[in-house]
Amino acid sequence: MKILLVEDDAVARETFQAILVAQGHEVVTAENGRAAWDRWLLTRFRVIVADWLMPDMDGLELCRRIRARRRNRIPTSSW
Amino acid sequence: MNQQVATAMLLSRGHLVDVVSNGREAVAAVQRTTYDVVLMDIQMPEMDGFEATHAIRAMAQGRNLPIIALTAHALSGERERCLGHGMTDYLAKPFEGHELFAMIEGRRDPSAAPPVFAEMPMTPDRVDLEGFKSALREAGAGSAIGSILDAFISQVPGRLTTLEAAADSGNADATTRAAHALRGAAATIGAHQLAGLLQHVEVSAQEGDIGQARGGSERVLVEAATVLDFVRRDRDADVAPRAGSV
Repeated sequence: MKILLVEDDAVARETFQAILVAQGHEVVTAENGRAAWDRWLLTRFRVIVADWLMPDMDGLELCRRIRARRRNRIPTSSW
Repeated sequence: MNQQVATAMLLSRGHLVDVVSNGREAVAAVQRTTYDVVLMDIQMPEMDGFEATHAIRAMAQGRNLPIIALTAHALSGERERCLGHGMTDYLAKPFEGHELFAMIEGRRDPSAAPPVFAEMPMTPDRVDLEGFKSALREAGAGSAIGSILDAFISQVPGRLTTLEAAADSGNADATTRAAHALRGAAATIGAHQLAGLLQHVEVSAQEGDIGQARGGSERVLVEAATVLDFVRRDRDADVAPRAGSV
């Protein structure tokens, strides 16, 4: 599955990424909501996993923007 | 003695405190988290202390949990009433700090760690690095362990500086963000104690209680230094044998 992983903390991001990659997924990472939004505009993802509290556009705002576009119904998960 | 004062005293004494505002939340908290002791007000909205005690006693993890009633009056028969509802003991308000400490510290399992963190042994309760590693190995991602721990070692000092500056300046919003950022990393590698302390700072700052956030940050610095040292030594031990075998 192609997954967009959005997490500002490098430790958590690398951990999630390593686990998802080991499970055979293709993982694209972003360090904040803005970077995630830019990647989302360019690429289609099956799932977005996003942190909630992040600097420079939080997970909530990212989710709102994506939902507002309604380009497709991507399942999103946040923690 | 109000809730905030009691909380501050317990924190300054080295205890970790979760605060909830009614019986229902207390039951949910006990369900979620393992506590050494519960301090329970009797008169609370939604679900009172007696009802909450009954609910906690009905749960496996709450059967032997010390529950201390905090009652508004020292009436005769009050203690019996609390014990009759399954509570362990009672403390009549108002009480002094030393009475509170004596009451709860007497409840500690003698084999449990003392409340001064710097003297606490490095148990899996405090830092469960092995648990983190085995979870990654089980997921087939064991090869990433070294680089994740290195990322932890390199980013934590900077994050601590940010947290300290935010707390010192009294900026609640910046303190919340700094504590949250660090908590994610701590929780990820299994530094439970540090993550717990950071959660307190985060919640205190979020609620605008900058005094408590500042006090908590000081304890975060002490615990983080210990955790960093532990992780560094673990990395050294991990790298050394391989270097030797080359």
